[in-house]
Amino acid sequence: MKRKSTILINAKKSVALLAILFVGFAFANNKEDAKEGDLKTEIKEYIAHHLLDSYDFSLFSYTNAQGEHVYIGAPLPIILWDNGLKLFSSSKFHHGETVAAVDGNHYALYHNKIYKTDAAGTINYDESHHPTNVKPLDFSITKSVVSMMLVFAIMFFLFKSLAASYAKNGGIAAGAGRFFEPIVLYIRDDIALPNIGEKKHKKYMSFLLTIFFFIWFLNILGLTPLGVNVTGNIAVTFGLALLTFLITNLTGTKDYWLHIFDPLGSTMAWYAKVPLYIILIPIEVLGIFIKPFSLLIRLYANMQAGHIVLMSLIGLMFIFKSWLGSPLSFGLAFAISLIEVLVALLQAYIFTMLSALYFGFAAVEHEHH
Amino acid sequence: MRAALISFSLLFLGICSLHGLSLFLLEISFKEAYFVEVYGAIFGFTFLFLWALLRAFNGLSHYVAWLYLSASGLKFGLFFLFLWPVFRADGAVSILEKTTFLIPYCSSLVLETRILISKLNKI
Repeated sequence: MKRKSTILINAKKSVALLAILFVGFAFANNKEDAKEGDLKTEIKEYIAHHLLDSYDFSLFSYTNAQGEHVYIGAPLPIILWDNGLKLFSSSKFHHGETVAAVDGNHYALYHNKIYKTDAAGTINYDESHHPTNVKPLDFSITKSVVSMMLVFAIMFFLFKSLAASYAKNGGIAAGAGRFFEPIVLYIRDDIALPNIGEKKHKKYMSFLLTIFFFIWFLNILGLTPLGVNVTGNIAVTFGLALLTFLITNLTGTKDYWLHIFDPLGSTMAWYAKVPLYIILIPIEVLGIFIKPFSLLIRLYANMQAGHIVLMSLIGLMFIFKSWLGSPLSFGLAFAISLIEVLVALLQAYIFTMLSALYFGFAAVEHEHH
Repeated sequence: MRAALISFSLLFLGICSLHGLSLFLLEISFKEAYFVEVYGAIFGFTFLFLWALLRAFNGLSHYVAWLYLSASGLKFGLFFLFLWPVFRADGAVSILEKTTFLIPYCSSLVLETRILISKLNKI
């Protein structure tokens, strides 16, 4: 009886506390409603800007005493093909504020894309408000490309030193190897072997390990204050899924292809199979493309959504600007960040797992009697 | 290889004859339906692809279905490159033009797939 009343008192206290929190929250928010609209737009633009790739590696920016916007970061090389190779530094754009003059041509940044313009940087539009200016072929080293190069370098030196340490310690993991060895073994024993099989798994292991660590490291890099969003870029996930697609189909065995083009095998006469195959074969052929497509969309959407949610929660701090709302937003952003660390690993795992599953389909070999 | 190509040619000719007969009975001119051009182009492309595919069976048997898919995609691409502008020349693609393309294209696809399945089963 006493225990029941204690629970009731606790429940009442909790409800009261929640009510106080919400009332305080509402009071704190009433103050600056007028300015909120502009701030919301600014936050939205900031999030949109963060999600896009960039032509310079900006770390942060601030407004100095003179009211000037100061950017801290490094410019990157712009490589364009516009009647010949055009190579210049992204600093010429001054973060999109000026027009870059190169070999008598003028280029301007508009919505993070480079357009050829006149000296004044005029952008012309069609009826749908789309720019009609010429867009030169762009091979620039963007922030995402630099991030990928960084991850490539990290992976190369990390695994090279791991291999060296194995050789030095008689095949026993040392240092960082103690952390990475179980992951490598997990990919082999719990992803590659069950899905591909003992006979052929070695052929695919190098790709599976590379893709796992590449996605994982890039995802983790996306959670750092460097502000990169590589795996949230659909072109990157498309490239990764394309590799899985090509490896699956170029290593496909006769049985894999027979499963697609003759799924019913010798279970019935050919004339009975014809009406079924009119439906079945197109579905199976579509499946070849849908599988890697789902890979690319899953990774892209999850990482993009994670960044949007996290940035929105951080943005809420500036909207609430109160003793209650801002710490709540911070707490929530912190909790979501922790979940995102898990998502970063989970997405790398899912991509690797599904790639292994598709390789398993491609590597299948049945006994023919 | 020769038997597969001959059987494909004969079956395709049969489908072409049936389609031609239908147009004749419906009193639609072959020229209006681009009948000769479409059948000629599709037969030519398919025959060439089948010949390449059957040759690939000798050395590249594991890539043959992949080649089949690529060839089918290429064939569809060639349609948009060469035949689509002819159909669109008068501003619209009529049902007659659509059927003139779809009947030989789908028939050749079925015949190709049939040859592929039988070959895959023999590897």
